[in-house]
Amino acid sequence: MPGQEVSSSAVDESHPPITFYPKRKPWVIFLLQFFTLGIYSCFWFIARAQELNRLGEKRYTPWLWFFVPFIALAQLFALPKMFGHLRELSGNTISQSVINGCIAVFVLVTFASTLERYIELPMWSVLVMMLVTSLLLAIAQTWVNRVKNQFPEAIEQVHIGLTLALGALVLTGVVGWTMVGYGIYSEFGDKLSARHVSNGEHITLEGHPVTFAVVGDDYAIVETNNPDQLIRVKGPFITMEWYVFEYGTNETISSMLASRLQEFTEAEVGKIDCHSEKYFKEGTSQVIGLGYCESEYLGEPHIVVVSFIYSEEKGLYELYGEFSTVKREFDARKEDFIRMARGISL
Amino acid sequence: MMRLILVFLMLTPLAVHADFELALEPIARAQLERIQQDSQQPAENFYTLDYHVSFDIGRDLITERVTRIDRFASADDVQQYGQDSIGFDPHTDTVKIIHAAAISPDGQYIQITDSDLKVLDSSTYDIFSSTKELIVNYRGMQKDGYILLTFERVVNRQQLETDWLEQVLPQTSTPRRRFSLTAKWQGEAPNVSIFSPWASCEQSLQSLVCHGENIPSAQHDERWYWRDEIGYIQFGELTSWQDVQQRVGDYFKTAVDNNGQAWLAKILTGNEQTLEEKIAKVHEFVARDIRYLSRSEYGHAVIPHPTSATFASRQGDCKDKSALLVELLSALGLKPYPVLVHTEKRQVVSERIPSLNQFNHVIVCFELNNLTYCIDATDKHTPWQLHAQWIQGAYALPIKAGSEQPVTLPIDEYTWQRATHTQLTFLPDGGQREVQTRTFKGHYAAWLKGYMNTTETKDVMSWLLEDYQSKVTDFGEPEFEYTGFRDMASDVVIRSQVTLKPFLEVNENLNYTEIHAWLKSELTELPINNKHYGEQIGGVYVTDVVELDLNGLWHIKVLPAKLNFQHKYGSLTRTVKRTQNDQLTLSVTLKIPSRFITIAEKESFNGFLDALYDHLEFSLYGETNAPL
Repeated sequence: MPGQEVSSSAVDESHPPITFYPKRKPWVIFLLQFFTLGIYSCFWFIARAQELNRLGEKRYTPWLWFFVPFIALAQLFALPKMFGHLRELSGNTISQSVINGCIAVFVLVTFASTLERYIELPMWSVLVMMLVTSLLLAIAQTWVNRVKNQFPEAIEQVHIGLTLALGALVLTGVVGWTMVGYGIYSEFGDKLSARHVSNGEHITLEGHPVTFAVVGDDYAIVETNNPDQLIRVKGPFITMEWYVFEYGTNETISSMLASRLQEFTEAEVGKIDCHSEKYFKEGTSQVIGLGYCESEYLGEPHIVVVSFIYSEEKGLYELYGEFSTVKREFDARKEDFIRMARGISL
Repeated sequence: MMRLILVFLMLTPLAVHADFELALEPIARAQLERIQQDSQQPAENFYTLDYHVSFDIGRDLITERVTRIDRFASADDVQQYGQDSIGFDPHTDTVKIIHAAAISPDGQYIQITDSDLKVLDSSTYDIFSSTKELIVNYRGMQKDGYILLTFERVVNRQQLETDWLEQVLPQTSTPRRRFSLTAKWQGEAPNVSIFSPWASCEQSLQSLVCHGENIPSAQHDERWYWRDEIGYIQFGELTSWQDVQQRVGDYFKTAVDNNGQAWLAKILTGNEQTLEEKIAKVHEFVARDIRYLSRSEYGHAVIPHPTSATFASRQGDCKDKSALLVELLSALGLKPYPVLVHTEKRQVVSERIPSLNQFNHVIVCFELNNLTYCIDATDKHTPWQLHAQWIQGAYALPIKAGSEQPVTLPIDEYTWQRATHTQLTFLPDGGQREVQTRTFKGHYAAWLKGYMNTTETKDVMSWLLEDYQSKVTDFGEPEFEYTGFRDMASDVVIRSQVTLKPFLEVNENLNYTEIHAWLKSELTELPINNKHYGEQIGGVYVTDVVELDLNGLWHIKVLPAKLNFQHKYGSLTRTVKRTQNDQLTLSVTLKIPSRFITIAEKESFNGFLDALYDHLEFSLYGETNAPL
């Protein structure tokens, strides 16, 4: 167990007793890994490296193992070393095929989670990956327990401070899981009652003259709890949403566009890049005011787009959209997203 | 039930004057009865009860007889219409008044006397002509009454300076209850054109009879060319436009004295190296050094004076200046030709009868480097490379082989061209320093030159200030300087500098909204206000560059919106470039090409302008650099 130092009660001057962290049940490891959103594995590997160092034969640099769970390439070298060592210490009672299989799955899952930086993965895949890594770590814990059983003289000792830290980590993990759970709920829950709209389809609002065309796939009209929103449309990502607002005849395109951009700028502490443009809807004298600001949100590029359309008889309407995702997806989707805002019509 | 009509016959002596004859006759009972019958119905507005015109077209004489009965509904009508004017040229015409009486609703009438007639010259300040006006002043007019006018004009065809053309308008600016026209001729039939929906006509070998009833008044409009819109019946003697070209060509040949080379030696200073520079000098001489004076008396109503007389007297009208210009341009090796123009017609209507009388102006055109240039020698401010603005699109007939029909003169794509450059620096006290240069090109420059060259400097300065303060801001009084207004070819440049009073708080964030004021004023001139007729709009090409310097007082957070308004009627674009954290440049371009806007397009066109008008402002948001 990370951070739980064990000291020997019977001191042998020539062969000091081996100290291990306390043995854990595999299902406990499973839960710890799962509820800490995988962060627990970093500490698990450090603790195992420290324990194996004490057994001699092979040398480990424990702090380097902190990074092993994140780097698939490192896993290709590190995991065979550690798991092979465990097999040797267990007297080759652990199947090499099982070890190879676990390493392959571990590397694969890590590689997949690395891809998430470049490809927007659905929220359910995060859940699946967490379950798989938790299971793998639990299996590895059975191997560790088997080795520890080879050293009945070893002393186990609990480290109070580290245990508390682990508790905090678990608590953080629970909060994180709440967020993931909300995301999954948003992704599935909203869309369960949603009306799906396809690329090119014009969305009309009952009782309002404003319309806009969908650009892209996987859009759905979902319910909104905000009374100011005339409609809420979700895109293919959890962060991608569109809303329509109505302002009546007292506001103008110019004033609202300037106000929105100012609002976005003031809300952003980091770098923000805003653009705005006014133009005629093709073939008409209907003015559309378009504005968008790009910034970063939780390390990922983020865009918020607004378009306004006005007529003396019908008043001012706003189409508001925003999304944030990995850069590659962002770059691929941004132009279509802005194009969708351009499609507002009265 | 017929009422007894009381008629007071006045025994009027036959009066013969040099210019006209007063030969009153008793009014026929039928006419009085018609009036009496009409008076039974109340009148709300002025109208003509009867209008009859007859022509007896002979080989030598043409006799026109007009009878008109008007009804006056109000005292204002009496004031406005209580006088008639009959135009005539005593060299060719004799006029005889047969009836001229005010008639009361109960049928009493009072004919005019000799003292109610006056002959006036129709000349104005710089126009001398032989045409006269016979003014008929009715006595005894009263509200709800009538006037009856019958006159006869006899035209001696042999005395006419040019071809004979008569035009009758079935529809005019006032309503007519009954209209009739009869014409008869002996020998060769005149060329007749009937181009009015308000008259139905029957033509035989030797006569024409037309009739119309309940003809409403023509629909007036704010900007319209009535000669293009109101129908007519025309009689003329020419049958082809070549006849007109032949006559005008002969007139110009007669006027040209072949002194061009000698005159060029006097006009050119020797500094003119290229042909273009020589054309410019010749143009400037004819336009500016020959004073405009129309000596269009009989014999020179359409025939130019000899060019030597024009050159020597340094005065002449369009035809005189044009003849001189033709001679001088020919001396430069060009092949200039006159082009007849009607300044108030814009449509080529094939029903118009060929006649020199279809035109009222003449200009000179020539080809150079495969381009056609047309010079209006009466325009003192438009460079020779441009067509004078006031006749663009006008009905014209080139006096040139190969041009067999009237045309319309070309219209520049962009008539009004202007470029504005403004440097706006924000000052630490919250005011602004503005340095502005406005450059007016082509017709815009010509228009300003016309004003600046005829106005005292102090008055121009007052106008510039008033114009600036009404259109831009009255937060300051700019100092102006204007140049380029003397030279025909140059642009007119107006420079101004002003420090505006403080109106911003430099310790607070900047929420700044400004308008492209000169662009806005340009757009206010363009909307179509006509209700009935389409309108030709002059193209506008205006650029406006604004350099904003926040002078380190704020740093820019939100830039003004770009504009990209593209429309079939034109475009308005604005680019926005941030050059520093506290500096940016806005470049605006408004392009609305010349075009004819039909009345059906009015709403769409005005909507386009309204949309542009509503989005000419720009907003800027900056955070203060002052310590908080």
